[in-house]
Amino acid sequence: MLVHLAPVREGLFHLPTTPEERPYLIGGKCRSCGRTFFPKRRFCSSCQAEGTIEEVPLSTQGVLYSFCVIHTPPEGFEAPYALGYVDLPEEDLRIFAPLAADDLGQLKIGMEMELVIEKLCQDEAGNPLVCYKFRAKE
Amino acid sequence: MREVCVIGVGMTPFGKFPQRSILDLGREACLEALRDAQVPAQRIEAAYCGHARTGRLLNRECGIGQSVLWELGISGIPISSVGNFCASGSTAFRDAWLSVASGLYDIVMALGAEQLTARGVKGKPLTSDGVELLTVMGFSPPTYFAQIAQRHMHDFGTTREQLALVAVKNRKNACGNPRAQYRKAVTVEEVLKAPMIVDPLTLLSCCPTGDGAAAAILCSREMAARYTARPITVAAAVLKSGEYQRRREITTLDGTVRASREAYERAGLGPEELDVAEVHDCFTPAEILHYEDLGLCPKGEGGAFIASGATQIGGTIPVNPSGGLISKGHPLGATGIAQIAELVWQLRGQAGDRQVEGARVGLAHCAGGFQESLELAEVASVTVIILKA
Repeated sequence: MLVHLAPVREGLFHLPTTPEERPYLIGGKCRSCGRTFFPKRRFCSSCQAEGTIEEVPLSTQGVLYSFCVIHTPPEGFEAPYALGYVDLPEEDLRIFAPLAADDLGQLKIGMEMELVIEKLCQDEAGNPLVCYKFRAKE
Repeated sequence: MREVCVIGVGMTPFGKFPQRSILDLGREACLEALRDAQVPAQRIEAAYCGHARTGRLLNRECGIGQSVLWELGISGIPISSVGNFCASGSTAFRDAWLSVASGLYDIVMALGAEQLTARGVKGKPLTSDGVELLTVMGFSPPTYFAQIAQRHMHDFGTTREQLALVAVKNRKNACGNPRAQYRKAVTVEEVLKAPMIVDPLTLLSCCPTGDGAAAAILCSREMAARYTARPITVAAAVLKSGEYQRRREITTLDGTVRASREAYERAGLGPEELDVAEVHDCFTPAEILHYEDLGLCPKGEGGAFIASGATQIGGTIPVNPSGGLISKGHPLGATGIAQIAELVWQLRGQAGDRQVEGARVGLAHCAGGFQESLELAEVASVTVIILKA
């Protein structure tokens, strides 16, 4: 269980608290125009309606739109690691995501991806931070 | 709107100058521009200074422009700081143009200065401004441009060798530019075998950071004749911000498309009439993308376009004869005005070993800055400026 670990940022994803629960990304959907946002917004920038955004779980299945593998890491990260944009067809979103794969060399545009919660990096004190990632399914 | 001309430019060498101050660099560039224009400092009616990062590094968010000009003995006039990411300098130039075109002032200065050696971190990519969450999640500018490259290779068959040719061409051009930070030619093989930063970008695919300053003196067409027999006309100066529509393609910077279309319309010409261009080659795939978005070649053909030699000096549309950001380095606030200086030298026939023969029309393009967004967003600011001899 990862529930005792600190998320990289509050409010982005749901951390399972029991073995039965699944993780999900926390999105926001406008009741007025139907636009879904990630992360959840307070205000709908699409139709400018106020107070219409409702919290919704986003689909956990995506398709890899593009990716990169970082070999010169910033502080707190271990190289190599991968980032990408993942399409969530159900919500019509293309979102930024850290990526995971058994072998980063297998990452390919168009492959199917699945949401997981894993350690991403560590903070300045050396404590691990967890984040959502999309993991290659193949 | 009145017609506006550039009558003087100046630029420090770009490089790593930790022993100098940003005020010292700024003063040098401004003095050169004033002397080039043969305009006394007291004649400047307003000034616009681009700086993006150094202010904060020096514990001074505002007022680099006032401080530089104070050193020079210019004070009391309206002086604005312009922060607009990688387009800070070019946005300052556009503001300066607007202030003369509108009739508010007759003669003004645009300057840009940056000293990135003031940051403590060495040997790591410069993080982007104001994208705290993305940065915490591992983002840096090369990770974005590497993804542009991956998708461009996937969609259009662009190759790593074609990407590397951008660095090879620009480094070759820089051999003729004594103000460039790196003036050593490189081969495709050297680019591909350099240390990997973010696949497919190696160290030689990325522009270095740096210190430097640049300045330009702008005035009305009527007044230009008093100072020079060869004024350079500002045919267009366009600024756009990124749009954040859903599911946009990463292989197009739509801001560049929109800015360049407006600039061509305002200048009354098309991309085929350009003789020379300075574009924002922060990373090698960026230049490929800009060819397409500026209309220099069809969408998806940027890789074949550089391989054809079209963008070399002597080709149909030489791009980055100065060596570009890849060779000069990218002192953010100074970059856009250094592009203007290069175009002015090119259009006057003063560019020495890197001269594009007979250049009459030039385009400068800057694009940069990121929105703090987990949905794929465009770069935050884009400028396109067209100058005519």
